[in-house]
Amino acid sequence: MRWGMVIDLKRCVGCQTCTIACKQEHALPAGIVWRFVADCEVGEYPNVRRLFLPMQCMHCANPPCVPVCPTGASRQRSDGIVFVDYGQCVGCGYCALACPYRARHLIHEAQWYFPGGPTPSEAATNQPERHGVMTKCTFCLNRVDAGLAVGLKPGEDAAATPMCSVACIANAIHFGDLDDPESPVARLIKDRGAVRLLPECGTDPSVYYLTE
Amino acid sequence: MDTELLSPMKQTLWGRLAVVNFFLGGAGAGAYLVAVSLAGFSPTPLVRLALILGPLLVLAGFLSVAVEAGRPLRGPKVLRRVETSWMSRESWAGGAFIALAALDFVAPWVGWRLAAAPVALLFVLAQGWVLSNCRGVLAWNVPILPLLFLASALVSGAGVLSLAAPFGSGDADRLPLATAALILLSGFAWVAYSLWPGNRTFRQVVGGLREDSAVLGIFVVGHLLPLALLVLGRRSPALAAAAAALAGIGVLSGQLQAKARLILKMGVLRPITIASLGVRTTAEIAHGK
Amino acid sequence: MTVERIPVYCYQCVAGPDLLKVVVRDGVAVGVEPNSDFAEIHPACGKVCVRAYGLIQKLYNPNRIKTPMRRTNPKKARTEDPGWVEISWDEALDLLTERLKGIRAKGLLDESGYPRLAATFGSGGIAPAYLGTFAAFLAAWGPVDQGIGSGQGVKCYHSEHLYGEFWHRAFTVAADVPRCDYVLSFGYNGDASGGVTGVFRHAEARVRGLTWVQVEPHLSITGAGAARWVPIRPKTDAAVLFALLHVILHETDWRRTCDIPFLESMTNSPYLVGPHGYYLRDPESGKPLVWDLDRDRPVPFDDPRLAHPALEGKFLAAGVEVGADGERWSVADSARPAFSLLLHHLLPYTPEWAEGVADVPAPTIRRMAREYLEHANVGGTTDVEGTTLPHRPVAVLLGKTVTNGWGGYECCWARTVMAALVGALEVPGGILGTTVRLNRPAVNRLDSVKPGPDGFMAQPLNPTSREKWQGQPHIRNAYRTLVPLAADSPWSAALGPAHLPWLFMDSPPEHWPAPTLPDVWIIYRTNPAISNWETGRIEAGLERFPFIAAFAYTQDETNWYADLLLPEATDLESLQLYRIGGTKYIEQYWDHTGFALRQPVTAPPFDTRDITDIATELASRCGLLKEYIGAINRGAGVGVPLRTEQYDFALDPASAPSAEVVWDRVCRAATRSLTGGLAERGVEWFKTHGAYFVPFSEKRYYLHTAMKAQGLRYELPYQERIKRMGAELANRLHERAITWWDVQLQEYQPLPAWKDFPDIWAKVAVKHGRRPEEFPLWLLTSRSMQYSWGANVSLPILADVARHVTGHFGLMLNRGTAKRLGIQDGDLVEIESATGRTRGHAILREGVRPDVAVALQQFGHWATPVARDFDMPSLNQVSAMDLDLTDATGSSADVVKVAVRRA
Ligand code: SF4
Ligand code: SF4
Ligand code: SF4
Repeated sequence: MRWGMVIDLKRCVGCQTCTIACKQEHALPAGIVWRFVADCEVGEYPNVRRLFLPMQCMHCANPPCVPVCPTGASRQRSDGIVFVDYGQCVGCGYCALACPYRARHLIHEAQWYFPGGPTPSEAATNQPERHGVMTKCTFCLNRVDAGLAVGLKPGEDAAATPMCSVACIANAIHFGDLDDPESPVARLIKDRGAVRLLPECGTDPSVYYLTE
Repeated sequence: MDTELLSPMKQTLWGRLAVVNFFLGGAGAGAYLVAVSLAGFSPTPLVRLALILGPLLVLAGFLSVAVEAGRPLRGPKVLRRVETSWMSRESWAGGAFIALAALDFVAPWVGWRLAAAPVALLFVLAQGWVLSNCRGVLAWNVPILPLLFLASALVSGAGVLSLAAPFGSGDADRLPLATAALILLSGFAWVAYSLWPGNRTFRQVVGGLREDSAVLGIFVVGHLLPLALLVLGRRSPALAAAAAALAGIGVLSGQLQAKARLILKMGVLRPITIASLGVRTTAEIAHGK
Repeated sequence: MTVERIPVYCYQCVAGPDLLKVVVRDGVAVGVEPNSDFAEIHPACGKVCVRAYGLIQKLYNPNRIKTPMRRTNPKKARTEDPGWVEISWDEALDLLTERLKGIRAKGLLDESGYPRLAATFGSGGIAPAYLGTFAAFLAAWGPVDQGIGSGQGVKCYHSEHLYGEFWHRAFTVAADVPRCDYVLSFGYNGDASGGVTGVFRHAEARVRGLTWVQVEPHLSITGAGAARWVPIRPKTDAAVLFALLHVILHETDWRRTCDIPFLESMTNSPYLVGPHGYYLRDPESGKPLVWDLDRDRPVPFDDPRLAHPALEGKFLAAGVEVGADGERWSVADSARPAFSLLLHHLLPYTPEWAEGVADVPAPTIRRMAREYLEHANVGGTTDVEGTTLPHRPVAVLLGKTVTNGWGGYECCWARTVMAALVGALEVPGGILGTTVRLNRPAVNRLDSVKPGPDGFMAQPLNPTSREKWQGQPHIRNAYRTLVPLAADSPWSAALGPAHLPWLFMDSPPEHWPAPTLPDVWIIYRTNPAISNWETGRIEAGLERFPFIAAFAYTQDETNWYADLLLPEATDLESLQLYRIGGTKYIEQYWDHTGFALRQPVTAPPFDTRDITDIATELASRCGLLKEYIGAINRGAGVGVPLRTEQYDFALDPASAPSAEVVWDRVCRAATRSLTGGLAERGVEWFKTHGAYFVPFSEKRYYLHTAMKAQGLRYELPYQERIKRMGAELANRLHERAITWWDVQLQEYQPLPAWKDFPDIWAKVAVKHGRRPEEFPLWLLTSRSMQYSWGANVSLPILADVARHVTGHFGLMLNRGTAKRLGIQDGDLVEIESATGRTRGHAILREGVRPDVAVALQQFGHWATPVARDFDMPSLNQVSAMDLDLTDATGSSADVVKVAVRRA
């Protein structure tokens, strides 16, 4: 069992629905995004290609962020999900610099969208345990675990699938078990020749991209 | 060829306080290492001085970096992952160094001092390894970093001792000579680092060491000038103490600038690239106008 | 902890409505999620876009207007603080009622014949989904000027709206993307503007293998997903489209490559055109003649024995031509089929010629034409729900700035002719209309197809005959007087030349009623001081309005000039049932149709009121309750009549119902009408279930079925009716000595010719005493999906995500151009036009033509909280509102010639 994602760049339009849905699902404070879609340009006028690249934690099988963590707060589960145990994290930032994908975000302190303090929804979803510690995309492990517990299938049942994938209006984000050769993600990787970012870093990411 | 999709970007997590840690930690541990190599493990004034200054500097570095962490009160938790984390190891080594020095202070014994040396060495190297394990930062993610940090720590230590010499390290005769040698070593290390092979971004970032301000601050003020001062001190013994102190200042300022540049300016997150991405063309191109 | 998931709809952009659920935890709305209950029914699996996720912040935004406010500072100016003081709802409604009663006492029309009450609703077609029963109040009132514009025309697909409905009941035009293989898109930016359903369809199609070629001056969001980008000089799209037609008709054997049966039987191609440019008609029946090749003589177009009409050649035929105002010519001369005239018309428009005009290489144009034909599948068919229909998987799409302003007619015409040539009009795979706004019934495009003259559809045009022409404008934008194509539906006021009221305010044209301002102007979700062209001029105009009552969400640039702020309950706070599904604007193609409910998800955090309750209260206070309830019972504003032969849920005209009661009746009537009386669901049912649907046949996407069923033809390629209409309008205006509309009259051509459209904009400089060379760059806009329709500019969470999309928040420039100008990424630059200046930070890109600068969307806020800190330049600040830039449909386009330099 290894959870992974296949992101179809042919579908993505950079709308940031996934970005905002993720922010909302995890009640991320102002200024913090666990995932975002980069608006990239390749080439020179007039031979230019514009491309939208969703960026998030790659849940590397060989994650450089985990061994460097001095407290053991950064860990990897047996299903491949890399996460931070907020209660253990000192917020030293080391893991974020070890990550080649810019996937980790330190939430310094409570940060509200409006100067006058939290709105009712911000107050209701505030998570003080995340202040001063490292945070990152969790592959929505809360949804995955809760879904599995009631017999749902992550990647197929919305309630058990990461929110970005559920929200994506282009169906660009596929989630599933990379170890299962029959899973839609494994098939897509095989059929359409997925690539991963920065293979030279030896991280063995669990997020794949379809470019053609 | 790999296509760059996201340009390199400065890291913002580690700032000046982290620089202070790397600088003071190196200088403190380096001072002890230089002292014991020059004077052995008997409690000579030089060693005593180093045994007081060294741990204090390391401690000051720790405190400084702790302030930068998100949850400083959880600081001790950083000791928990020695098996894998160079930051844990750095903390253990630094902590042990401070503890041994404290023990020696309370109950002087050569055993403490003997043990403190490898611990200090490990601490300095660990700081380098902390950086060289940052896979996100190209300029740090190179194997030469621990050696660079060792050279830097030693010369900084020599600088600290030279600066402190007038205040009672009577047996420091060989210090100027050692300092001069370490300046050469450090110069060699920084030049080697600046020539280290790497990809385009790495070369670009490290090339920053050749900027005028870097050459002036690091190489001229931090290396050439102290060397010249030490030669001057040797020629005219009357000026020796002042020259050594000035040289110490130069060395320290050079290493501080070098480390600050390494962390702040050269702390650039690697670009995000992708393999095998075609550039679409507008086909029949006749856009010369 | 209690968690509820409350279904509502989102219609924050015209590409909706879409369905969502609001997650409410212990009474606090905390999140938005797709409504997966309708995953099988909604064309994009029940998902909603980035804007919908901003709704939570929209609800709790502390910068909202939280209670009604009254202006205390009588001076109105940008520099004058309005001096708002809080008042109760009772006081607020009293204040407004007093003004309204004053109007009723004086008379509903003023001395110029214009309504004393005006109302402007922003956000294009969105407002009705949020207006509650307010439209019923206006219906009860009597004449209301709903034509004081807030940017429509210059900000919409204006020519496409008017000509699109005329040619194929296409208020907007979409490709039948799921069945299409090849799209030539001239600036159509559906991946940013097409909403959830547009994005979803495009993504599916790209993966399936649809080839999309994007022709536009800067590489847009949609261009990013295209197979190729073809940079083009702004406003020259018509040249390339004409060249495409040229290649198809003059460089290929059109008898083989085109859909001849379609041209012969579904268009006016064979109609003979006489020497005066009108159809040659049978003197007795008045029917247009065609040349029957079998019998070698002219016959009426609908002669049942006609098998082979001539498409080309010259034929000696006798008949009559009927011109403007019934002028008739008996002719016995050589006449040519319309198609033959088309061939002749297109002869000069070679790809080489177009290359010089548009900077698109001739080989590229040839390749596009060739690929278009290769994919057209002429003769092919497909099965749609058991019916065989033609399958033509090719489409030409046009975007804003291509479809409005000068050149808009030419582009829309050429595009529709491109489709007609291969029979790709209103058939699977080709181009389709989405909805109708000028024709009726509004809910069924196909039912709006009715036989009209000459074998074409009937058209609800504004009359231009001497007897019936409306010489006295009935509202300030005079659409009935000036724009025959704008028709006269409830939507027409907004689709007239909506900037004329502003333009004429201080410089009225000759022989025209004196400009007057409405005694009361009610504005709703509209901010013309930001969204109109030449916003400085709008501000100057706003200072003079005697009384503005603004439904207000936050302080903004327009309600800064208001006298009364009315904070109505917004998206997640009010109750309304709205029609959903079927086919709708942009790319909403469903296989279901029905109604969805919007409902309060939690207790309103502020002292806001449901607009239905506000409308009811106003009606009561103005003594219009009976008329108001009558209007609701007829279906005004609520989308469905409350009383028909099948059911009766009519409200009692004697008592004021609560919003809850109104919408309960509407829910019941809606479900009854949908199901032919079989099902009835009340508002409580809708509150839990969200929406009610019945199947909608995909065959109803295609006008073809209705056209075939009624034996009708498309009025293409020849525009005889347009020509006649233009000539008559010219007569009418000249009879009144009005000559200031003469340039516009030139648009009424039977076969549109290329004019130097870019030059029309370049000349603005001369008019203002400057030299065109001083302004070498074209400033354009482009859609920001995150901010489109503007209602969420004050939500910081949108900025948090939009900043990842290039263009937010600055001015995009070509990197080479910037280098030449000494501008670096992030530099503050000044943007100067002949009429204005603004500033912004440079964003350097490769995907922008060297002669183009792009400012996304429309910002430039100075009063709206959050948005006023964006530092984002707006094209509207430097554009010039000008009659010279106004085309015959009354629209212009978002292009301005500017100079950019380091500030
Ligand atoms: S992407 Fe970064 S944070 Fe995520 S597992 Fe890999 S190294 Fe760790
Ligand atoms: S929601 Fe989907 S299409 Fe939109 S940016 Fe995210 S991945 Fe791309
Ligand atoms: S596309 Fe439009 S209607 Fe649909 S969710 Fe987005 S804003 Fe709302």
